Amino acid sequence: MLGYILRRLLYIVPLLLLISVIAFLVVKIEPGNFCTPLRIQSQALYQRCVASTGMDRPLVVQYGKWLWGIVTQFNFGYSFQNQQPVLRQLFTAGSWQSGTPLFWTLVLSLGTMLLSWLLAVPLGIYAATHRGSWRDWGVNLFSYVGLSIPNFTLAIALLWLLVVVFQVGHNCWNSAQLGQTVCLGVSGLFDGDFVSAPWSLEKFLDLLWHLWPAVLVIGAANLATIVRYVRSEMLDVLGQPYIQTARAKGLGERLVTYKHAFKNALNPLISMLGYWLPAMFEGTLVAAMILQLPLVEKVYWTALRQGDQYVVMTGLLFFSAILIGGNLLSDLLLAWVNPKIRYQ
Amino acid sequence: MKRQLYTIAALVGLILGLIGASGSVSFAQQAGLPASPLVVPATQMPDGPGRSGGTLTIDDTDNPKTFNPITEQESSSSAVTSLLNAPLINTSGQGAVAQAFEVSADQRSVTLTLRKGIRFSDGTPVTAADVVFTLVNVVFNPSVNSDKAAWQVAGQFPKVAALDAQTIKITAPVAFSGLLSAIASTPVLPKHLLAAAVQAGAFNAAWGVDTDPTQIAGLGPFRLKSFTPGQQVILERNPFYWKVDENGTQLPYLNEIRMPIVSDDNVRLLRFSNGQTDIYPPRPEDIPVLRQQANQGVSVLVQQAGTVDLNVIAFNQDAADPDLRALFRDLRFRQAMAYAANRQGMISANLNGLGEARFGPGIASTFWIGDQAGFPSFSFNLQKAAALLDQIGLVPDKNGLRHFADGKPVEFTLLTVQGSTVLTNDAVLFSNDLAKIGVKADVRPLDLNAVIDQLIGSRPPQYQAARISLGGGDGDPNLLRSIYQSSGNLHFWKFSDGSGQEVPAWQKQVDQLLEQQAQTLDLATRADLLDQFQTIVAQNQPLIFLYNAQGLEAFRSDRVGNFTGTTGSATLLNPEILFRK
Repeated sequence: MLGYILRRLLYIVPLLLLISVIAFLVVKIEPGNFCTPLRIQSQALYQRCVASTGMDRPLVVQYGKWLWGIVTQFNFGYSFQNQQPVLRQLFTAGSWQSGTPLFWTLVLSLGTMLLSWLLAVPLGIYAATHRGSWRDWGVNLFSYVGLSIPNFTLAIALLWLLVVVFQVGHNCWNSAQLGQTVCLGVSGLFDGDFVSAPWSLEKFLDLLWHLWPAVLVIGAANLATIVRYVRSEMLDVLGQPYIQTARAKGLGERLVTYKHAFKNALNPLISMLGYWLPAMFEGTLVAAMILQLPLVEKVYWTALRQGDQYVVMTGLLFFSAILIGGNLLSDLLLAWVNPKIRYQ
Repeated sequence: MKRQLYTIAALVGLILGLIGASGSVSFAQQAGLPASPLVVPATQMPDGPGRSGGTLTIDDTDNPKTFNPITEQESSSSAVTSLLNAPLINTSGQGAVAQAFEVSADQRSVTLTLRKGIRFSDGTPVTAADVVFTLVNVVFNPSVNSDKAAWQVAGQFPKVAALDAQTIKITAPVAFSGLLSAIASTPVLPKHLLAAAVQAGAFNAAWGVDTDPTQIAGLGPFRLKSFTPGQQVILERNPFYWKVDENGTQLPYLNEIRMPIVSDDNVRLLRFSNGQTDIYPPRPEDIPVLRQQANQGVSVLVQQAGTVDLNVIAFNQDAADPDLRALFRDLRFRQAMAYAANRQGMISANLNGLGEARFGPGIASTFWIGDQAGFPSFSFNLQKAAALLDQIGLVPDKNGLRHFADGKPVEFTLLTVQGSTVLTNDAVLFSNDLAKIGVKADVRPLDLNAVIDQLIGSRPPQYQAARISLGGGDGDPNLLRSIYQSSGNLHFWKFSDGSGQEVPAWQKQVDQLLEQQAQTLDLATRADLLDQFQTIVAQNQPLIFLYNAQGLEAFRSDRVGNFTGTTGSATLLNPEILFRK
């Protein structure tokens, strides 16, 4: 098994190298570059920008220097736009009080994934064990709605509901920590001066108020998908002869459902966990854009729009690494839960 | 021709060669206040003198990319840097950081005297050395990404000399009408904080977004308190600011300005409606929603349309296709296109009716506004457009489609910017109208960078026609030279003029007029020269001028006093007089 893991890890290196070449070409194929808007001001300014960013050099030299920096110094280049190292801009910009893009991405992605599974699994089992009932129809309806509403529509509709219908902005309190009146806001992570205030219970509660719409937006579609998977797997297993045998032996329904049916339905679901990881990272992009969350995805998206080439290339590498890591995790989890599967 | 001439007292003073002294009186010395602060009269405050304290919140549209006021290139950065910095004189020609200025008799040089006791926001005194450093070591420095065009005349930079610790003399090689504008658009930088970066050749990267706020200082009403990437910028009042109100209260009134980063228009509107922000520059479609919130303290200001931005359709007179090139160079065709542009339709579709049609180039209201009374008016008229095309010999076939003499259909590609609904809507509307008179325009939205490349990336450019919008800078007519002068960087409709190929007589006249006005400081003479320039351009329609949007502002009048407007999405005008009610 260890040999298998090591082999898989080694395969990742050439794969990432290939991805980095594709990422570089994708950035370069786009018309214009980071400096192009400066042409409107003056050709001299444009030329200075192209020279100072090294974009006047041959493509091989640009790519080679970038790769050499990564291999020798773990230096992923610098952001043309913000004049700071790429790793700082993408992942670590910020402070302990305010959090960093990577921190918030992990909190939201993993937190939403955990919540989605915690809610979806019981719902799926419930729907499967009550097949054909109005409760099953209810869960199905919820799943279809969750799957069919686009993230951005749900996000903007949620904000509209909070502001226009519930008028949450009228709910204010005197913050002992900040020494000022704070009213409930929408979008972002904090209200008022809580952004840079030291951590406290009040700040944490304010954060929770801002996080739940994001969790709902990111989680809705995923939750619905997982519910449908769990329901379908459970129905499949519940129809197996050994379940009927278990029932015939006089075992209680609870025992049959959880010990025999759910345990066997779990295998394919656990392997899904790994695939879900990259899907969660992708799903947070829309939420980050509409709900104004300072996530890695938002930094990446901004860089993409501005042609900030090294940020874009590093971002692509990061998301590819998550995808590859997720796949590896899936395979390992599958082997772990099913002793029949052994990798050579 | 009727023109509304916006004279500026200090500019008149400039032309007469008098001293443009700002109103300053002695006040009992307050901590941080210079000995001779600038007094802002109550007449310049819509709600009169305010009270000190409080926080104002306005969303910034994106993360600032830098806090360097010289190298910043976009509005999310300038929204912040404009509050941190100040120039020697302001755009209306009054003294600012400089208490007084004097123009020499030969109109080539300006001598400026710094306000006595004035200090940067970190408490360091400002001296003439800071001004010389700003201009000579930074702005004129070839390795710095600064706006050099604004300072150059006859291909040279002015000479800058410190006469003593408080006095600076700036001398242009020839009389230069843009000199005061250039001074007014350049902030004074602290030499003690930036000299090392210049010396190391690293000025372009100086004052990046991860700079410690204590290492950033300026002369604006606020200073940087904190920046949390992706979340918010907080500015605090500059305790050394150099303006007071009539009562002697040091400005700014506000203690803090909070600028959360919110890049989505709809979310900014919702946050304003929710009371999270105090000011919101709305889109035209937001106005009905905001007017319904009048009983919740929301006020909407609809201002006169500016004349600086250019909303135009451009035809490439150097197009590769010989038929199209000849056609685009034909004045009758361009006039036909001007008649075929349904400006009111575009204004209704895009601006909710809040715009004004334009038929010629616009110049900022700081200088003067062309009201089109003397311009040829090309109001929407497809019959006139069709008649002009008939005159050219482009007769429609039985299907109504016009053809060149060689049988090719009259067809061109009309570029617009992908993602810009306004530009694409306009292009489609224009294309539909052209189809009615037998001309086929294929609308093709492209990425902004691709459009820029097609317009100015090569000479001759590759495009055929384009619906584009150009910002007009701060409105100094000198900036129009890059567009209208044949050698200009943005003369993208006919770059061949710059190399002297088949330059029409009117273009030579335009070149001459723009050059003359640049070297003329007499306001009346300059107005006359620009008047001739505008008329010639309007007659020849090198660009098809469309419309300009009216300025829209929404603010919470129950919370904010002395609000005068914004520019560029989130840049506050007169931030020092804003106060919390």
